[in-house]
Amino acid sequence: MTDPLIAIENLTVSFAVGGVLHPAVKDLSLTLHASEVVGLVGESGSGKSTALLAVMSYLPGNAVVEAGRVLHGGVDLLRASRETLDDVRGRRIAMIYQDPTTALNPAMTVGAQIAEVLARHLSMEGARARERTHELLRLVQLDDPPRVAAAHPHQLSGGMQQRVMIAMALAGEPDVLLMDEPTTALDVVRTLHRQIRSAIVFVSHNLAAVAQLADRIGVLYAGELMELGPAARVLEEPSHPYTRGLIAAVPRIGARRLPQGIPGTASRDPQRFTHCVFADRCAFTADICRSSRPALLVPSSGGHLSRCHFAGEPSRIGAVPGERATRATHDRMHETSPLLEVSRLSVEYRRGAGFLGLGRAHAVRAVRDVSFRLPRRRVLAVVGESGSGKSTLARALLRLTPAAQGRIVFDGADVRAFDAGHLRAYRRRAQIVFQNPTSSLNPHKTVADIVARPLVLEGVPREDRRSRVLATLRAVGLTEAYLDRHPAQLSGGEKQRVALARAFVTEPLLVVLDEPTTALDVSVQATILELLLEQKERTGCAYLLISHDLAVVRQVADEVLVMRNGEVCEIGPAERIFGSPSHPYTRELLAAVPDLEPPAARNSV
Amino acid sequence: MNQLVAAPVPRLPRVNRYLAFGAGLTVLALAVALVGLAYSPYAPSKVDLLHRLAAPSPAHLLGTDRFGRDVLSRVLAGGWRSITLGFGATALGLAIGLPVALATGFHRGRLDQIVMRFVDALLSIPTLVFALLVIVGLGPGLVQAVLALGIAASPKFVRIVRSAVLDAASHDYVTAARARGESGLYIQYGEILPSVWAPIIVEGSINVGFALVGGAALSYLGLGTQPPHADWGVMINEAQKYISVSFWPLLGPALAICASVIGFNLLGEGLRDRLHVQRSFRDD
Repeated sequence: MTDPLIAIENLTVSFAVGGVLHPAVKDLSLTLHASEVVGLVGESGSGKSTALLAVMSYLPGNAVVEAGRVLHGGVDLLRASRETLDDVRGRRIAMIYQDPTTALNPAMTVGAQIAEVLARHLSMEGARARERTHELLRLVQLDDPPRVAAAHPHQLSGGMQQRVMIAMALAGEPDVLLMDEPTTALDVVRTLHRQIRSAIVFVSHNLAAVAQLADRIGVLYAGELMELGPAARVLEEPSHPYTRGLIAAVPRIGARRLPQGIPGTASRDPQRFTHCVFADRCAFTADICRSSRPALLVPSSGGHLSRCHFAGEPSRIGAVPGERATRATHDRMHETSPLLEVSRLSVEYRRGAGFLGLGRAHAVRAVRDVSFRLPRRRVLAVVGESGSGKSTLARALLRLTPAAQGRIVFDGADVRAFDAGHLRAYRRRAQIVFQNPTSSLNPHKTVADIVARPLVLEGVPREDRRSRVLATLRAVGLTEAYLDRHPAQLSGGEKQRVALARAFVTEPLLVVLDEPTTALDVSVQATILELLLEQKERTGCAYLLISHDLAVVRQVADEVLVMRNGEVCEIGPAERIFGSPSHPYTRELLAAVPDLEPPAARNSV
Repeated sequence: MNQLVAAPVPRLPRVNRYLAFGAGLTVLALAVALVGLAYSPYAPSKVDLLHRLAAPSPAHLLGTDRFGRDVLSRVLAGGWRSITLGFGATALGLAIGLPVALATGFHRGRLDQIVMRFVDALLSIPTLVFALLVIVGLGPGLVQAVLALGIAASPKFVRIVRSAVLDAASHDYVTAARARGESGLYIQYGEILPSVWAPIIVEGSINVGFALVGGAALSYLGLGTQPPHADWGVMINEAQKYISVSFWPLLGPALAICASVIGFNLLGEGLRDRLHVQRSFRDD
């Protein structure tokens, strides 16, 4: 085997926060060979971003490299001079960032930004640079390169911006591409890799995305490399309990089975490396797991490593996760009168009205002629891409945004005709849970205040509030110990549980779930989904689930409504929409969902 | 459903050094003002033409001014006026500015557009000129100066706090409050106000110093503190004309203003950190 392009050796990085060193990556060793694709998968706090930034020697100011090195062409990048790094970054190693809207300069044309790289690293100017810019844009499958090159970033769609960013990274003809959470341009990257064969390291929280691209997969958890091996081996024969848990937690579009969460949250204790970092959450923990740190062992054959004491004894850590029992579908015979009935609902925004609305306004229809019925105890999923109008629809249902036309009938009453008093009563019975639990909880309040507030509004006497708050907290898996905490002291999953408790404390009939698991880690997402279904059974409410994640929808929805540009494309029972979609747009959406199985096309490479 | 075991709570800073230092300085400034009400080494307006612009000495710890008046005595005696002016004008400015900022930033719409254009118009008038306009209507005196400087400062508070309100109002916890049927007033004062303390504290503490100096300018025009009484701003104003001869008369009142402003600022920041935990432990 030839020398690796990049060799990370025993890298340990900590962050100094408030005078204390918090380790982010411990003892990480990883090599990258020419034209190889290595995917690092991990949840928040796993150290995956730190590892990626270390390769570029881009660690933030409070990062302390405690040990290890990152070798590239015989040079340790972590200790290289500024001049050396300037010549490596962009030229030998290039980075593709997660968010193109912040990574591209809004004041420069796309062509000028690419030309900058060409001039800096290849001393290419003028007509030759222009020609090369167009070549690069064509390489990332953008039509009409001259037009794209002359555009400013805001004139391009998100997907096009992402491709531009990839073109920019390729401009310096690097040997290594680093990618942070590539999610939308997976297909572009895959095609591209076949053409240019540069090596790629990418990090993602999305195991399915990793499965689409990687030759080898590294699984990071709480700063430790837990498992490393060929993609097919790691996905099909995971030898670490954490990897197995992670795979079981991924919602699969191919199968209607509930994903299974991993209980608990990752340890942040600076002393955690004296034992197995996963010991607290692992189902197979033995004494040795709490007393000594496992080494990276070879479970079966070469190239596959697992940091588990029992890696050599697969029988000790249970079976490879298989299909779980299918969720029972509801008996349609019990369908009663609908809880919510929406007919021909339209929502408009006035644009360009100007100062005091004196200008010439034009109405933009965000939602057009939407009709559906939602019975009790059922889950209706509204799916569509961003901008499809699905969130506007949800807001209109709760009367947070006025509707322009149509009827909303809730429990037999016309919601649009409610006066202030009826509206208040309606809002206690129709609740909403948001995507981002950090934004949905006021950072200045305690959990007790947050969950008790809806009861205060309802006029529940003080002495009854505490018991109801506690009962609701317990129902979402939290304990009394959380009452006095502030949101900043909670993990993402805990925050979302608090948000759920706030929504459920008044026992609503309808809960709008606006992307309730999108901001959460995979292992937590599965637990929250499970919890949502449990709450539905307990309280008998109905859900309107807004989501762009079809794999999640597949697991929980009874009915699916597909939206595009504010209109309904298709509506029907989940089995039919997923089994035999009739609208071409639905088929397009379904085809775009990455699944855990490596794509067949890769086998031919 | 498995019950979560409560993870250990991230430790909060127990002794906040800002808070301690800021509270110390603020208490010191208030103590100076209180002591000055009852005691000063010399009569604050006692003229001693033989010892004009003297450097500090055991007899005059902070030196003397151009009439030979004891600077320490005048700093002590002028303290309560300065504190009233600085804190009073700031409190009044906030009392007017905050409700306007919360209402416009929360409701938006036409009211917001009208009010904010009006505020912009007021902001185009220099604060001191604005204060003069008010005081012309009210007549001279300390209370009037507080009113004038407070009213004049309020548009600035509206502008700055409103942008923080807009940011806070975009959070989902505000939408969640609307979705559960909270009143507009509760959302403004119960949900949004705690999130906009940071700009209030920064702008408020800067304004304390500004009001002190602005008050001196009013006094210079005979519209604020009336001679022979002094406040810290007036003393600075008088002393700066003799700065080439002696900077000693400047030092005492300047230190007093610095201590109040820095003390108030640190106190505010410390209180914010203490009351509103917003530390994030993200490293990824």
